[in-house]
Amino acid sequence: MSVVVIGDRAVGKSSTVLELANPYEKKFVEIVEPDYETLKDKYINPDTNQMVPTRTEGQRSLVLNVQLPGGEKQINAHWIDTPGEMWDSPQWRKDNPSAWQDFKTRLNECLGIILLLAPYRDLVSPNTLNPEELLTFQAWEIRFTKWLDFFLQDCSQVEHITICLHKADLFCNVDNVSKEFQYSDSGGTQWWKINETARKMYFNQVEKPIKNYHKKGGKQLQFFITSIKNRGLLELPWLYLSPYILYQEKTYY
Amino acid sequence: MSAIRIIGPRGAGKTTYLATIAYLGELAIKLAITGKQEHFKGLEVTARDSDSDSERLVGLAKDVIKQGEKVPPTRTKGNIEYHPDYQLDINIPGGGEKIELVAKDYPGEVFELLGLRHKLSEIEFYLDDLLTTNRWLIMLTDWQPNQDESTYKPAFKNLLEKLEAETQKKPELANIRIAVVMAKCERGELWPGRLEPEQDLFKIRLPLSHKILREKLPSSKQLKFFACSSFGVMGDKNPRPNRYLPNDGSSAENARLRDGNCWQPYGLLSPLYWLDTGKMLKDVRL
Repeated sequence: MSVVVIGDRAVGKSSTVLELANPYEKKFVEIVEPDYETLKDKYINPDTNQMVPTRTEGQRSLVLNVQLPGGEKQINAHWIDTPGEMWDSPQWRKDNPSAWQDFKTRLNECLGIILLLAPYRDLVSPNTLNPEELLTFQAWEIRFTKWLDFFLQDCSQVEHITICLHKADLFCNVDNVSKEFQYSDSGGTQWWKINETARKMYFNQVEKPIKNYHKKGGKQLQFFITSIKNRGLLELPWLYLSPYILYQEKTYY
Repeated sequence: MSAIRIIGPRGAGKTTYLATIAYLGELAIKLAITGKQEHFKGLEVTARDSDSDSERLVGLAKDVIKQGEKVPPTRTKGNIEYHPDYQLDINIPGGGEKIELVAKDYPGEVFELLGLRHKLSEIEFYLDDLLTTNRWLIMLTDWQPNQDESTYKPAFKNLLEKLEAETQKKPELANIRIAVVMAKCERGELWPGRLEPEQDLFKIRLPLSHKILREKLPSSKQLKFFACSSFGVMGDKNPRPNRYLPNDGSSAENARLRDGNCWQPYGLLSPLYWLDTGKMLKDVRL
């Protein structure tokens, strides 16, 4: 069963997956296949040491070791990597109608979506490098609402939708804040509490579109903040989705 | 024990019910350690012959329900054989009695389509399977307005007609036992009615369903009403429901367990015990 990581260009979709394969930072989740070195070879440009932007859509099989309250489990998942243009360029969708339609069909076969959102300009520290590359709050709110519309219109078959305000290191002290979002493998993590905390702290200003989304019958949304600079936060959406991947009903054809 | 079929509308909590029962043995040990809920002492639940489907249920209880998340819905499948038979051995506390549970739960759509005559062909193989057994557990909720009239009553009407016709061909169906269970009775408006569920829950909250069922099956040997709660309340002296409903405008169907450490289910075994033995459990809390 697949999990698709979606989000606008350069938000860091591939780098989150790369970081989860990094064995040195592991807490409760580790991508063990492909291994870290293989993923680094694919995604890091050795000359610049920067991520190579994803140009084409592709699907990869992942094997993850996940520490759940019921014990350590191995999970097989598919990760659909998508180029950012697919999401933030209406022109791309216009130029590639069959690819877009085909992708939407496959998206609806996915068990879960991880949407990564960059923070908006007013949220980040004034010392952030190039804050003008980020959207203003007004533009971000419009984009956020478009994502919710997309979930309503095009993802009706997807059971689990997670929304992550990514690059949390730009707007908070991730080590301090991560204490609010701690996972315990011995049980006692209440996902609804994590969801409520994230919503109150970081999505409060978009309550109205969220309520409208639910009024229209939208599926449950689970909110997180994530950062590649804090492994605990980065693992949360995968820990949330893992039991659903693990305990999904058998599929028969 | 005869095989049991569990039916009911979407979101009634059928799989959550089964998953909680599968985990009830472990939960009973935890409750005994903390000195809470003495009536669970000695309760044991084991999956028979390493039944992987029942182990999946335990996993759902530990990794999903206890973590405050919702069990995914059971989907309709192309063949009844694709729905697992959960096989659990349950040692009842007290008298040393044992229930050998073999149960299959149907997707909620099956119950909802029962009331639509033109759609009955879509669920024909579920109906055929249902009528191979004479132990049914029907799980209902009452949080959706008008459901009694719009969904439940027509479903019962068609189901009971089908049962009547089939009983002519299969005499074993004359010995049917149907346990009708009001689920999610941790809710404040239901909790006080749990002790006399037929009088205080079904007659009042689902009067049309109650009437049609009682008219067709007047004998208490064939039909009994129960109340259960997979989540329970926060404690003996704290009757707040151990359930959390997101304040985001989402449906009441999205309720989940509030606090895994206070998890004390109510009345889950009573309907199964009656279906198995025809007798009532002395402790209705079980």
